[in-house]
Amino acid sequence: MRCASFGRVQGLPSGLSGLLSGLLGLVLLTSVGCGPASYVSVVTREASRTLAEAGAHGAAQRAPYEWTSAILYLERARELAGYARWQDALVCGRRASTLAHSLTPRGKQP
Amino acid sequence: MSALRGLVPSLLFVAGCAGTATTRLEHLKGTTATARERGAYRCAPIALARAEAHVEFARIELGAGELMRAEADLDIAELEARRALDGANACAPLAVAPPPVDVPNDTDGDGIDDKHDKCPRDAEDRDGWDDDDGCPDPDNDEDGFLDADDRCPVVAGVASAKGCPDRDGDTVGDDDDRCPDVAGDPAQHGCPVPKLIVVKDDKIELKQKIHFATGQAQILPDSFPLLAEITEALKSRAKVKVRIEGHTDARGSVRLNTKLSNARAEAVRAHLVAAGIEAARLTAIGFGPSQPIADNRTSTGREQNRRVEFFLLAE
Repeated sequence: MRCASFGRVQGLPSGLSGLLSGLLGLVLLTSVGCGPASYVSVVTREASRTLAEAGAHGAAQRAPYEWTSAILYLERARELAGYARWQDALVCGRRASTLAHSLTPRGKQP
Repeated sequence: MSALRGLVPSLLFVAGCAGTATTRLEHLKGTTATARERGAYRCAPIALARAEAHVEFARIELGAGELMRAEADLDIAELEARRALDGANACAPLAVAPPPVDVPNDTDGDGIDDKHDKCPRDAEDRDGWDDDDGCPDPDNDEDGFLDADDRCPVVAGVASAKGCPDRDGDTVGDDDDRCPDVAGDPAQHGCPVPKLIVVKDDKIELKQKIHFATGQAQILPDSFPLLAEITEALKSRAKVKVRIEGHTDARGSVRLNTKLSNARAEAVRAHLVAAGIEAARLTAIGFGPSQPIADNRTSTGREQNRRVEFFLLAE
């Protein structure tokens, strides 16, 4: 997905033009759709990291139901994010994160 | 208008498919719930996880109008739900209750069923005495001394002997009494305190002499109490062997004196055997005048030389 693609602003020095283009891109990035994309990415990365930690502590053998569910939800979150279905991706990502946290030794919820 | 007419069947087809998918979804929700109830979480956790996850995915896809993706999830959910159900059925406990077992009821916990326990509320004490009736026996020999304080818990005894039998009544129980038939002193292991003898490690010293008829081996009656004490002393030392020695003074022939001393030692031995000492424990020997202990030229010395001695041999 490509969220930011801006041309040069006409009539301004090239340095100032680049700066303005960057600022504009940042504003648009957070206001027209890449905000959810970033957030989903954070959620899935965090779930993935937690799941890896749980896996290192034998979660797959200790709690196969939760382990399998977490894997499936995480995969589905990534897949839905790929289709830009942010809301559904976020639901699956949060579910994966919750399951992953329940598998860690601390067992903390996110 | 004609385009709309062509679109209607397609819309109806899609609506029909969505309805079918929704029905399948509800059906699979019920199936996965049943599998969970039957123990699939324990018996087939992976299949259950996959079934429930894909049911949820199908619900999400249907909500997004992604009918094809929803159908794909439902297919997977259906397969996994069946596996979960099969797994649960395979390892779930049998629904049939086991046949009733006649569980023994043992109120006092003594290992004897109440039906056979004469004292169902009092535990049998298991002390080796009448342990099959289920009742405790705090005083096995019923001598009035509770077993815990009774030194002879299975033999009736008396209080003075701490629950043990005491035939001579000297407060020393028969088992510990070296003289069980003669009242004695506890300090002497139940035997009388000797008055006429002193028992030492290697001999019995006499405080008076054994008297014989003059020139004969006949023991005079005044020596019987002395011999009785010797008898009791030997009975209380059942493993000790004794050598009885007879001695004379130097008057007269050596041969006759030796013969007399031997006869007197034998007379003492016979008396002790008659009193209950084993013959095998006693040997008698006469030395005549050969081992004087005093001067034979004086009457006092000769009196001392005429003697009977008792030597104790190793136990």
